[in-house]
Amino acid sequence: MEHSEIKNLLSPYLDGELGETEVRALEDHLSQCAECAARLDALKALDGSVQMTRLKTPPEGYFEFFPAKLRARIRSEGRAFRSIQRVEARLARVRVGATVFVVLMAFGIGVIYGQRGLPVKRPRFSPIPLASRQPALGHVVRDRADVSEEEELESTDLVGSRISKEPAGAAEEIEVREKRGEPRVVPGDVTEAVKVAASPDAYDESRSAREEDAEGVTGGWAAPSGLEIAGEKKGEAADPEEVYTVANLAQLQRDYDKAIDGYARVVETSPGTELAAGAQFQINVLKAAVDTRDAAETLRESAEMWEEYIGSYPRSDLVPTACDFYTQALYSIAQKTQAKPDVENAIRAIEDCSSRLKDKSPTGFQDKLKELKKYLDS
Amino acid sequence: MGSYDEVSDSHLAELASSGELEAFDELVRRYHRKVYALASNMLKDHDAADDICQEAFMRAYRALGRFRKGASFYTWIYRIATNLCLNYLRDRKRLVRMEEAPAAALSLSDSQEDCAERGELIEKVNEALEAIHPKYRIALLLRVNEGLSYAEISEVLGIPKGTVMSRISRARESLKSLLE
Repeated sequence: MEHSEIKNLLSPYLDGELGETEVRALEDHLSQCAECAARLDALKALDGSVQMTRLKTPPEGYFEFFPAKLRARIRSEGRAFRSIQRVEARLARVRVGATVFVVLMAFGIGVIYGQRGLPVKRPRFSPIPLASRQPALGHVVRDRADVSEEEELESTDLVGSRISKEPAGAAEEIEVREKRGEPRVVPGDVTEAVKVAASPDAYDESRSAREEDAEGVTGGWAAPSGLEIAGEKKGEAADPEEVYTVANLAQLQRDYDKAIDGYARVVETSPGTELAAGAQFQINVLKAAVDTRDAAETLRESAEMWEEYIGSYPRSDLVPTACDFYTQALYSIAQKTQAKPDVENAIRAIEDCSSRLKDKSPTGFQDKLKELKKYLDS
Repeated sequence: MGSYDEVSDSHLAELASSGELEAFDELVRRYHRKVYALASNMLKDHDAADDICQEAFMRAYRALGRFRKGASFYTWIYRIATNLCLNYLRDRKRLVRMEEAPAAALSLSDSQEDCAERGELIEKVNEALEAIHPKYRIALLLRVNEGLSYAEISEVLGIPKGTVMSRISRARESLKSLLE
């Protein structure tokens, strides 16, 4: 065996990893070669030095307490897993709720959009034209006795109102709108109304029109005081139309609870009227909105929970999942409110998680950031 | 937990995966010191070594369902811990010295002068160990300090036996030239 070959075998020889033949050949060589024998001794001494660096002095009680500490972490992670399942279930509910809300709002907006341009004396901002002023809701609710059971099933809309297929005056309305180049919406036709309202242009136009209306008409006149003006404060019986108007204002100011309160008073004080039917419709729509607002609260709770989890277990395998839930919750909130602090908060969270996850960041992060930054710019 | 004394590692792993936490505790008791020794030798920092131990056992716990029947639990846990150590070193790119380490390694019977000399030597060896590539260092530490065979190291590191041999040889050569 060559001297150079022997040199390479010294390390495995020291570790007892050579076969019998190799050991014999190497030991023969070592008995004749002082250089290799010295080299082997040096390697043995080196191993001794390495062994001296062994550190086995953790703080007192460390080994004794470790199993309990680990068990606590296993339990906490078990809870976190269950939380994920809960949050997933919640988010699924939120998604269903949000879908219902969007459809309901789209329907409402569709009706509004379909009605735009029709003669409205006042209030010009009313999302559902007042029954006493025009027949907008006249075709929505009919006397039960007039509707066959089959017809009733076919025409029951999402909020439980019954809608007739061919409302009186529909053909004339369509003709008027077509002349103006407006979308073809048959009053009472939910499918078409939703389709039209769901188009981004229709939605944006309708929303901005409503916001302008709200600003122009309310001019700082807060809905709660409006409700008072409507009669409550004076201790007089409030005019249902006035209450409807004020509730409408509250709705435009996104004070949904006040708006529901106002509409409920209309339903209570003028039962069986078209105005009450309109108010009931608004209540249904607004309740869906309130559910969504509550869902936003759930999202906030969820975001807080995941933020805490990431902070507590920064090295856990669940961190990418936690980051995903955390950023998704804040992103959803920002999308809903588009309020600067919420948008900034979501951006910050996504950036933090990106730097934490690095190349493991979900690809959707960049798209979300882009969209959020657009909100800020606008 | 005396009742588990005679139970094999793979049976304990099986029991733990079916939800028997005490069986997992026993596995932790059996291998925690070894995993800690490896991590603290690699990282020279108690807190980091503790983090590695926790994470290694947590990962093992989560993956118990996938643990191959008849496989060696200790090479598996070493493998997890080793990868975590290498990741840690790659991420942090620095080592935090465990200040009390040299003193702790000294024997009480040594004279003060010997202690000082040995302390210096340990310091030098630590510096040299830190200077060599972590891939070589871990192979050497698994062999010299943990007493694993080449076959076991091969399983822990997921590399062929021949590569284990050459990494350990290179680690020794590098250390030797750094200390000369």
